[in-house]
Amino acid sequence: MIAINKALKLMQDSVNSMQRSGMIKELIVVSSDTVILGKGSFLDSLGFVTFISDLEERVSADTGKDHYLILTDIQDANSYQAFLSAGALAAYIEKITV
Amino acid sequence: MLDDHKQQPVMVITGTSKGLGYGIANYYLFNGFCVAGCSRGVSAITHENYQHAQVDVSDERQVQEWVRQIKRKNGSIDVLVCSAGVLNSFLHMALTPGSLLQSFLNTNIAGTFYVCREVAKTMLLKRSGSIITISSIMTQLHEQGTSAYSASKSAITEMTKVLAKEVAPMNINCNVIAPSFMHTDATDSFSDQYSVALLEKQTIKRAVTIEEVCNIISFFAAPESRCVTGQVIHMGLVC
Repeated sequence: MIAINKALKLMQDSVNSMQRSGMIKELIVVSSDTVILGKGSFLDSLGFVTFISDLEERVSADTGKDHYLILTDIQDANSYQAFLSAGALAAYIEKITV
Repeated sequence: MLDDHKQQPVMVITGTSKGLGYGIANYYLFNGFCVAGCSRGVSAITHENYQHAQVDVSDERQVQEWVRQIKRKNGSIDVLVCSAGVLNSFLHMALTPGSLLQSFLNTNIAGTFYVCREVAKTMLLKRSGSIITISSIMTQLHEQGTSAYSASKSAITEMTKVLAKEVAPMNINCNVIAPSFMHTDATDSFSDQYSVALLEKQTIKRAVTIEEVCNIISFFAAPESRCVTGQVIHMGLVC
């Protein structure tokens, strides 16, 4: 299982990786309140897709099992209002990796 | 070479058990590619650089697992050719059952969607790649009996153009090839009369060859073609 704190750490790793590749310019410290998608997010649409794709691979690598991040399955994520926080995503990762 | 750091570029092809996919796979294996192919059944291709998986492309989870498997084995994917598709009926719309319509939607649209999505994700992380989908001349002919098939092929063109816009900033190009009449397992079941009538409607009145299709794939996949995206090449041409 990937606990919430570990999931946030994996998100930070993804963000750091994107920063190194030049996709993100500013320094981002991921916490539960960090907005991943929606107003106030540090990611543009392509950045969001890249982030989720990268995170999906990190989650799978960490657990040694294939895991898929399905946005519509995330509690508190609303694809119509387009909002997702790091905390909600971390809780979802904890749930699917049990 | 498509990617300098590797000896062999990796091409993923769907529908490699027969027809166009089979021909494309053999062409690129002969030309030094490592090919990962899939079909619902087993493959007759025995080349040492060929990796086959039995996958139903309309099954989302099977596609996800297959693409992960390819990435684990090869590190990355350079080119995707989505050639899997069904052409199993020429019934007029008034006689087309829902199950038949669904088979076109599942394999031609959903199958292409799932494979493009999963491969695009790996290409996004690599910031490089070329995606090629296969449409059909039927989308231009509006031929009787092809309402479901042509609609599904038109959808492939549209989804490829949208994907092209979405991934363009990441050095990934997405293009469509719309072949005209070809000799494949599917078209070999056409009557001679029907085949002749189809060819008569084309500007170039002969069957397109696998090599001609591959020539366009090579053009789209070349690093020098990265600025060519969202395009459709209609082979055989209908004016």
